[in-house]
Parts: sequence; C-alpha cells; structure tokens
Amino acid sequence: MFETWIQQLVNGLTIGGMYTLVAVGFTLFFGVLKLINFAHGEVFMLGGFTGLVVAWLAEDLGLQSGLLIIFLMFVISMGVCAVIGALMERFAYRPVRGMPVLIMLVTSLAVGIVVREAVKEFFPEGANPHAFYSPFKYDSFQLGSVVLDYTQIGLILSSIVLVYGVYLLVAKTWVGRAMRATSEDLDAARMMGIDVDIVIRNTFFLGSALGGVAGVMNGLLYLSIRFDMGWVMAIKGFTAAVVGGLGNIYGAMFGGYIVAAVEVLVVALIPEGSRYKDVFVFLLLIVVLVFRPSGLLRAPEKKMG
Amino acid sequence: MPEVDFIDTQVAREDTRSLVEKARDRLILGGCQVALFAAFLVGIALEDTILVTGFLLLLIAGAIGWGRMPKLNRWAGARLAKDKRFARLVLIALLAVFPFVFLDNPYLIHLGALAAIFAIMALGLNITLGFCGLLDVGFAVYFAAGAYMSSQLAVMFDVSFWIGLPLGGLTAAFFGFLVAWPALRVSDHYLALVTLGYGLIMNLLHRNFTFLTHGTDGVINIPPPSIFGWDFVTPIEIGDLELPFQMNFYFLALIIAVLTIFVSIRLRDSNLGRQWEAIREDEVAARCFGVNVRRLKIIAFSTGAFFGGIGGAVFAHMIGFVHPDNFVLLTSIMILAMVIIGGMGNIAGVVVGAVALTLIPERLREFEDLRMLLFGGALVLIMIYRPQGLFPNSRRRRELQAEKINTLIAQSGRDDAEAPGLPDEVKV
Repeated sequence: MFETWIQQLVNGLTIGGMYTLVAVGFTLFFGVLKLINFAHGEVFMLGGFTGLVVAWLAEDLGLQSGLLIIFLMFVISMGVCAVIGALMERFAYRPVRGMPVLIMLVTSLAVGIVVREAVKEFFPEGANPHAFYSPFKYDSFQLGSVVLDYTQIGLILSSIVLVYGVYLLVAKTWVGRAMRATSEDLDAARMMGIDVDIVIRNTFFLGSALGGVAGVMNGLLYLSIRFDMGWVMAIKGFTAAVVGGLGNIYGAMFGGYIVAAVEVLVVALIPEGSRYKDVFVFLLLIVVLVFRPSGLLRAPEKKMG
Repeated sequence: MPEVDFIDTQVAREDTRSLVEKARDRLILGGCQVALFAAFLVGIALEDTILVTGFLLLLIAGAIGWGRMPKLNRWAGARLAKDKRFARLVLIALLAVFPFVFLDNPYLIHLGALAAIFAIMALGLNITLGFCGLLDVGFAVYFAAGAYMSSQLAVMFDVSFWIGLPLGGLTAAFFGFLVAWPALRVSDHYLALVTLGYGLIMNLLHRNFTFLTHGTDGVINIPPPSIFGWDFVTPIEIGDLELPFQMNFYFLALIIAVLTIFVSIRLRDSNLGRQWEAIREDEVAARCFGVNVRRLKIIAFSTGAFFGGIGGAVFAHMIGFVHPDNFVLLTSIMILAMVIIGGMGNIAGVVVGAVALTLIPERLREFEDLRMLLFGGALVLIMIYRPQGLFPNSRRRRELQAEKINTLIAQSGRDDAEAPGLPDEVKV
C-alpha cells in the first residue's frame, strides 16, 4: 500500500511539473495580453515533435550519450518553440491586440488549428502517433521497497529547476520586472518608458520555450507523441493557471501540482477513474472559475478580470 | 372644372410613374438576387475541383472587394431597404426552386439540407452571442443534446420524430439552463472558459455514458421522420418524375430554418430583444434601468440552446447516425465561426455564414486535411482584417472601429487629441 502511494506521489510530481511549465506560459500570456492563448497547447505539441527530430538527427550523427541528447532536445525545442511563439504573437495576436475578447479568443483557436494541421500534414506520417526516443526507457532503481524510475526523477528535478529559473527571472531581473509591470497595467508601464512590444515578445519567448520543454518531457514520459495531444495539455495547463489565478505567475507554479494531485487521486480512489479523470479536471476548472475566479491562492489586493 | 381634371391626371400620372418605378426597382432587385444566386449555385455545383477552388477564390475576392466599395454597399443597402418584403419573397422562392434544378445531383440537395440545419444552429448561437453578448464556446453540447434525445427516443422507444423534435429542443434548452447558472457569475474570458470546459465534459460523458449514448459505437439505425405512414426516405413521384428523397429533408430543414429566422426577427424586435441588447451594450446600465439581467441571461442561454437542439434532432434523423465525434470542440468552433464570419447579431449575415461554412469545406473534400489548415488560416485572416464579419450589425461595426482607434492611439504612444476621424462613441 505504502509503495503504491509513493509511486502515485512520484507520478503526480512528474505530470504536475509538466502542467506547471505549460501553466506558467498561459498565465504569462494572459498577464501581458489579456489573452487566453489556446494555441499554446500546440506549441507544447510542437516541442515534442522538435525533440523527436533532434533525436533522429542525433542518431544520424552518431551521438552516444543519452544525457547529452536529452539536453540538446530540451535546448533546441526551447529555441524553436520560442521563435514560433514570438512569430504567432507578431503575426496573429499583435494585429488583434485590444480587440474584444471574442476576437482574440477565436484568433488563438484558429492559430492552434493552423499549427496542428500543419504538423499533421507536413511532418512525415504526421497523422500517426510517433514513438519517442528515450535512452533511459524503464531504467529504474530501488529505494527500500519502492521502485523509482530514472526518467521520472529526472523530469521532476528538471521541471523544478526550470520553474525556479523562471521564478528568478520574473522576480529578480529587470526583464521580469518589466513583464510584471506590463501585466499589472499596460498603459502605466508604457508611460514609465517600458517598450511594451518588446516585453510582450519576451513573454512569448519565455512562455513558449517552457511549453516546448514540457512537450519534450511529455514525450520522454509517455514514449509516444501525436499531433493532437496539444489540446488536452492546453486544457490541463490553463486549468492549472486558473487554479493559481490567471495572471498570477507564482500561483501557476502551484496550480500545476494541484491539477496533477486531483488527477492522481481520481485515478487512485475512484473505480474506473482513469476514464473520468479529465472530467474531474474540467469540473475543477469550472468550480474554481465560478467560486474563486482569482484562483485558490488569491492575492487579496489584486483585482482580477 | 379644368383644375381638378388637371390635378387628377397629375396624380394618375404620378401613380403610374411610381408603379413603373416600383416595377423597375423590383426587376433590378430580383434580377440581382437571381443572378447572384445562380452564379453561386453554378460555382458550387462545378464538378472539377480546380474549378471549384477557382470559384471560391473568386468568391473571397468578391467578398473583400464588397467590403472595399462603400458606394456599392450603400446602393445595394438602399435598394434592399426600399422593398425588403419583396426581396425576402424572391429569396424564399429561389431556395424553394433550387433543388428542382439539380434533380440529377442529390448530393448537392443533401448539402443544402445540411446548410439549413447549420443555419438553424448558428441562429441559435446568434441569440446567445449576437443578441445578448454571451460568449458560448460549447455550443456542440446543445447540438448533441437534441441529436441524442430525439434519436434515442426514436430508437429505444419508437417515439415519432415529430415528438422527438420538440423534446430534443427542450432537452437542449435544459442543458443551456444548466450552464447558465455557473455562467452567470463570470464574464468575458472566464465565461468562455466555463462554456469550453462544459463542452469538453459533456463530450467525455457522451463517450463514457454508454447506456445513454452507446458511447463510441454511436447511435445507429435512426429511423427517418414520417408523416401518416409516408417515410421521408421514400422519393415523391410526380408523374414519371421521381424526386430524390434528399429533397424531403431539404424542405423539412428549410421550413424549420425559415421559422427560426422568423422567430429570431420577432425576438430581436421584442421587448426581450431590446433588453438583451441593453445587457450586451452595458450590463451595469441595463441593471440600473431595471432589466432583470439574471433572468434574461438564463433565457438567452436556453433559447439559443433550444435551436441548437432542434438542429441536432433534424441532423440525427437525416444522417441516421450519431457519434460523439460529431460534437467535439471543433464543431463548436465551426458554429462560432459561422456567427462571427457572417456578422454577429445580423440574422441575414449569420445565415450566409452558416451556408458558406457548410458548403465550402464540403466542396473542398479533395484537399482532405489541408482544408482544415486553410480554414484555420482563413479564420485568422478574417479576425485580423474583418473582425466585424461580412455583414456586420451597424452598432457593432462602430464599436470595433472605436476599439481599433483606441488601440492605434495607445500603440502610437502619443495621445494626440487630433486623431483623425475619431467617432463620438470612443471610450478612452
């Protein structure tokens, strides 16, 4: 019994880390643009596919070290997704900036469709699931009576490191300061001499890069990626962002783990729970939106909406 | 008395002149309608994919050009306004005649029926979104409610379509009522997220509540509607002429669509419609003037959902097969796009949007999945270049212009008071 619970805890922390990385993106975009970027899930998916391409290339080049390959996957898919995210911002979201909610919403949904269908069409065999590369498949070690998976431990650690890095970036550097100022009040930030366009671009760089890393992690964990996996992750991600309070960067860092906890508990406690785990996540989304719209970790002085 | 005589002839002459003028106007108006309709039909019915694609590109160019020519716009608008009733009659006549021209092409008639069904649903969403301004991204829920209710009644309990149809609509209205309760407490992005989550939950339930929906097996063998023992799939024969059975469904859907349009117009012009409009424009102000915002929003959700359910019921009995894949998020986005592309709040625009978005993807089947890519790209471009839709509601157009100017002012970084062409409504 004890072992199962530890195992569930490890599972929860692994997927929670991924959700958190995606949620930070959502919350950053919402902060600066007041836009729920539904295409973010597709950026996540794109990250997975970029990682796969990197793995293929590494194989061609004859790279042996698994750790090096994973590192390259992380870095390159971060770069690719950052650029894609910034391009989306420049060509789709900037023209509709400041338009009514509906217009921005539909734009982001449409951008998502474009990215998803482009991967499906133009990636070789894009419509089929692809096996993901993993050097440490099923490698595990024993700790007492608990069996722990290397991949999972690695993913937990790297997501914590990344989230801590984001925290430092947002809280301690002037880039993060400009970002926070812009999400607080765009016009006021502009009046203080902040180039808002650059801040928004930086935000999309950062958020999309995190989404891309999460895509690679997803591949390493489940060993299979599909062109349509982005959408589910998008919903989990923005549920996490909503739980933490949309626009609240620190909240999103915990929201991911809360969503993961709900999911793991539903699977563990409810018979046939794995079929209904998504239902509970969406219910969490609705319940939080209705009863605590500024998030569970509400900062009292912050006015939302 | 010569004077009187003179006046009489004068009046008579004016009368004949006005009659002649009226006849001429009607001829021009009706001629334009017939020509446009015929051109559209011929284009849509083209066999060759390349030709169809060319035609669609032409159509898009035409739509863009139309937006760029305010003079022509105003001319057509004035013509239409002068004789609205006549224009409507001509349109209905054209729609009624259309299937008889394509007797040898039942597929096209089937598409016409499908377009009418989606028009019914888009008009439903138009009530929620266009009239009352409530963002509903989960419209497929109501589509599904109507389809499952009426089809399962027919399959499991042998209930007639004519009872299943209103029951399907009412079930959908109930689902609209269900989401209205949480939706009342939130707005804007949050409302969009709530309805989106609702749509996703319901779709998962469609897949997993197998005892109600048969899950991913879908509901099969849904009987077609029948009147007095006559099945809708039995072709009508007039003399030697056998009319394709798709025509029966086409007329069924067309009649319901026309009824929906009628109800929409009456709702828009009613006390209810005015109050919805007030809520859409400014909720706080509406509340101050004594509008019962809570009650009206619930009514808006349920009424819109009702038509979604009606569309769903007709759809289920026409296709004969209902599957959860019909009610995914993409369906909701599609219906949303119909309303937005047509022009939110404008009934004619919404119908045009629904027809266009049903027919065009169907005719581009040759392109397989590439058409979804095209759809997404086109939607982005429309949002950027024509967010008010093809036939915008005049008030919404002004709003969007004001917002755009505000953004431009904000983006330029300078707050020059002498920004050109600043409308009065700009709220800074």
